[in-house]
Amino acid sequence: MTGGGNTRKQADGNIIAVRGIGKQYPRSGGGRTPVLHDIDLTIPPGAILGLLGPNGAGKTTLIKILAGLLRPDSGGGTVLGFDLLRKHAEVRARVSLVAPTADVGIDNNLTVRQNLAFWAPIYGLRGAQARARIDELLGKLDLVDKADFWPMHISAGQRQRLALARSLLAENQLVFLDEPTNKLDLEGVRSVRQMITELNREQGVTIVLTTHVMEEAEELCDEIALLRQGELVAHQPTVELTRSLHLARPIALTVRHMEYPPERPRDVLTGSSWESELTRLPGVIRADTGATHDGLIKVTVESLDVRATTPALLGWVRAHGFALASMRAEPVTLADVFAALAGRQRPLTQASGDSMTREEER
Amino acid sequence: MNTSSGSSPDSIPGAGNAPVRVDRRRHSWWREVAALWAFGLREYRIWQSYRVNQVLWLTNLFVTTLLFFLLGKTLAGQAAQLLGPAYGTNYMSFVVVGVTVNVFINTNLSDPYIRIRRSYFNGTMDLFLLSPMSIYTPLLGLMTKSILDDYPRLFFTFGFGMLLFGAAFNFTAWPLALLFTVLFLAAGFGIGLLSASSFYLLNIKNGTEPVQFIVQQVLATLLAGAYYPITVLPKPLQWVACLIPHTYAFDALRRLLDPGAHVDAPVLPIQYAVPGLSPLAVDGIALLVLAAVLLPLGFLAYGRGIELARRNGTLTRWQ
Amino acid sequence: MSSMDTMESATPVAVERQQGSALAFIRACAVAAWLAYRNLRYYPSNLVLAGVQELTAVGVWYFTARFLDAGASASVAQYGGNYLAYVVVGVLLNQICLAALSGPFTTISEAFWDKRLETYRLSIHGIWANVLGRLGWDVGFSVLLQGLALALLLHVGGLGLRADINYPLVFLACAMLVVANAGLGIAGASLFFLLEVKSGQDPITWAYRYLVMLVSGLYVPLTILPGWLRAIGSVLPQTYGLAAVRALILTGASANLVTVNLLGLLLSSLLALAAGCGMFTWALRRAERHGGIGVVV
Repeated sequence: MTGGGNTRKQADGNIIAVRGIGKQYPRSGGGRTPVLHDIDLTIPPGAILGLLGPNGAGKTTLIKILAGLLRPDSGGGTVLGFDLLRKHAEVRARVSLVAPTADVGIDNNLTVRQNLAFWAPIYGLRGAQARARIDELLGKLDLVDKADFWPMHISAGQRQRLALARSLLAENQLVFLDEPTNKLDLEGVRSVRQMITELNREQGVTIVLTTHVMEEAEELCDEIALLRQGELVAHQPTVELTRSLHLARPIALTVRHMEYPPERPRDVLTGSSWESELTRLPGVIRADTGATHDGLIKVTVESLDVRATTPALLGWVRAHGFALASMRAEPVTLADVFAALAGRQRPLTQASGDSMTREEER
Repeated sequence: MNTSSGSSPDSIPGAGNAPVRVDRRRHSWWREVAALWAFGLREYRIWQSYRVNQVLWLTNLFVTTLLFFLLGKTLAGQAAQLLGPAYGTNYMSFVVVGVTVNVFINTNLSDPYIRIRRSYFNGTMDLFLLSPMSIYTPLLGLMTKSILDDYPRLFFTFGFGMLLFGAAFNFTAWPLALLFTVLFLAAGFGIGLLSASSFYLLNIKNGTEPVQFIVQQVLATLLAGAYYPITVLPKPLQWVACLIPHTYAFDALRRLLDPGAHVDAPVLPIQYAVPGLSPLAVDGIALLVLAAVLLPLGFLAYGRGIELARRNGTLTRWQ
Repeated sequence: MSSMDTMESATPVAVERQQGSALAFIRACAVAAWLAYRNLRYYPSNLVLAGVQELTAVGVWYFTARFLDAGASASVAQYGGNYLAYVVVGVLLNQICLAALSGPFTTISEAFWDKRLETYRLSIHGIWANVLGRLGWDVGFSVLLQGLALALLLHVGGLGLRADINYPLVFLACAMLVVANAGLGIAGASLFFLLEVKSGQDPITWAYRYLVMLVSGLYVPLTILPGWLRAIGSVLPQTYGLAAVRALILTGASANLVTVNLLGLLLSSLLALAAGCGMFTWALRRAERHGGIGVVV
């Protein structure tokens, strides 16, 4: 694994190990507002943790505490082997953070390249190495053509990538990304997600990522931690979380049968055992078939593991001589997750015959 | 994964996989200097792009000097009488010292708060702290632009005064004048740090910051003797003037630089109170004491302010 | 009132007619002034410090004049030979004028950067209500502070007022001078759009302030100035205004003796006001033709 994070070896091998983290903010009229309560969190090195929660859940506060920018009111632990309470300056010197607002830390009086050149010596990079590192990041984040542009003359997505490049200059082993794909177009989202994946796989960087988009968390994160009203309500590997919450996702296909004429799809469906075949595919808990008004066959399955179900489903389509006309998987939303945690689910995603994990409403 | 101890530099692969030593030691003087250089370069680039501002402040200096030249003409040769034995015979020389000192102390005194405030509102304070830099380096670095703006004005004011408006100076005691200036700048920076610390300690996020306002815009402007000797003021106000470093700086520099000035004639009430010491010595001791007290106090207060902001989550506007 | 009358009074045209009235405009200006006061009062220390700042500016010139009094009094013989009083009267009046001069540009600049400018433009009374309302507050607040300064100087500063001052004429002269400065200030605000000067000071007020400092007789008696500088000063409203007010207050001069100055002041204030309003209106229209007046995000 490349990368030279100055990480002290911890007894438990975790890059973040905190317990009992609590935080309250002073209120303007007196008193304090609790923001985080009794958070225990451990993150192994090389993981990508998705920190999810609705607005006001305490995600940014938790990130700031872990980065050493904010002192917790209770609890403690270690980050990169340094005590969070006593050695917070050491922690801050060794982590990177990208704020949700792209323009933070971007100087409009300097070009894109000059912005990075400003931060390079601050992070200890010199001369030729600094220039090489800057060129590398400009290439990876597709900013080479914009290197000599002023930030005000590039798009919001490009500024977000510039902010990402700045945070990655130091090649720290722990990176906090606060909604990194916020405000990006599809192409920007794709490239940033790819960058995150490469950073983790090629350099072993541990990433803590906040997002509102469940789909993004599922795609990128090894583990998901869910915050709600300042409390950690779940922390599991991603696949296990969706499974444990019985969050079935509908996948809808329309197919055309190659042997039968399109005006007779009902003949195809009558007497078929397709539904029972489909429920035997990996992850599928329910299946349904029907005919569309234009002579196609509609297949709908509910899956607890879309990644496993999809290839199996496509294989089933081929095996039965169908031609695929369309395929769509409905994403799980954060609302679905929290509703499941609270013991409620949307009817579409409720798995029949399965008992639901229920929690008392807070 | 590299698990070296916390005090040694890290190695990261650079171009061509040659290891690059990244110095993450907390107290690396080289890194602080390199960071200051980076700030200086950035601030210089920004300063360069504001050419109109440079013309404006040059004009401002010229007009101010011209105004006092014209005012000096109203004195009809009575300058020596009015200035007294301590400050020589040339009113323009007297005023040029006042205007110049007032201009360049403004950076040390007023700029820290302005820089901290800007870092708060544009969210960069978090980023500065998320680096191996000390908490003081960004502040010093950000002040570079103001230093570029303000410090050279001293040459222009002296230049205008001497070349165009009849000011005359005696530079034989320039090392001593430099020493007094350095002490004054140090004391002023201490006050500037106290002013900056109020941003977090007193939660003064908007509006007028009281420390630098009271010291620089009220006391120094009104009482320190920038444009007139403090003997014009009522006695109680003269004693108040003795609380700020500006008063001693004006007094000392005039004695050292103005032609015909006497170093021995007391002017400030505190100089009368210690007849055993020469007025210049009183100025020196006062500036030394103020610098020795205010500078460490300022650093301490600023550090406490940052720590308080860490506790309250108010380092930046980004929540 | 019949139901038809009730309906008519509520129709958009009727509403617009009501809102377009002079009274409604004045109410809108008053709201803008009140908002400016509220903004200042939001941080109570700001209110106090703003007052202290004004008093300090007067204080600096008070002490400077005290220092120069012995030598400079001969140069103000036509105003009673009291240089201290000469400067104090000028500074108090000039501080009020500065509020009128710099207010409009500051108002536009702040509204622009706060992204309120387009909202004001879309309202019935447009940006004018905001500019004039804020101007009213700035001048009013300054008048209050200079009155406080005057009271302080009369009480402890050794200043005195003559018994035979023609106060109505003094107020008229002051009002005309403030109007002239407001006109120049509004002209300066137009440069926000015409020259894209988005912060700091506009060139008109910047230049005018310096000219006033040097050649209007504000600090330096006109008798000291060489002829060519006096000629420059003769086109400034401040020159006439200060001369008239000083003559009325310091020498108890009659209306006849200050007629020339008052006429000069009247002419310059009318010109400045007309130029300012014309330039600002043109600037707004031009800005809207070329891409809008608000911040483009």
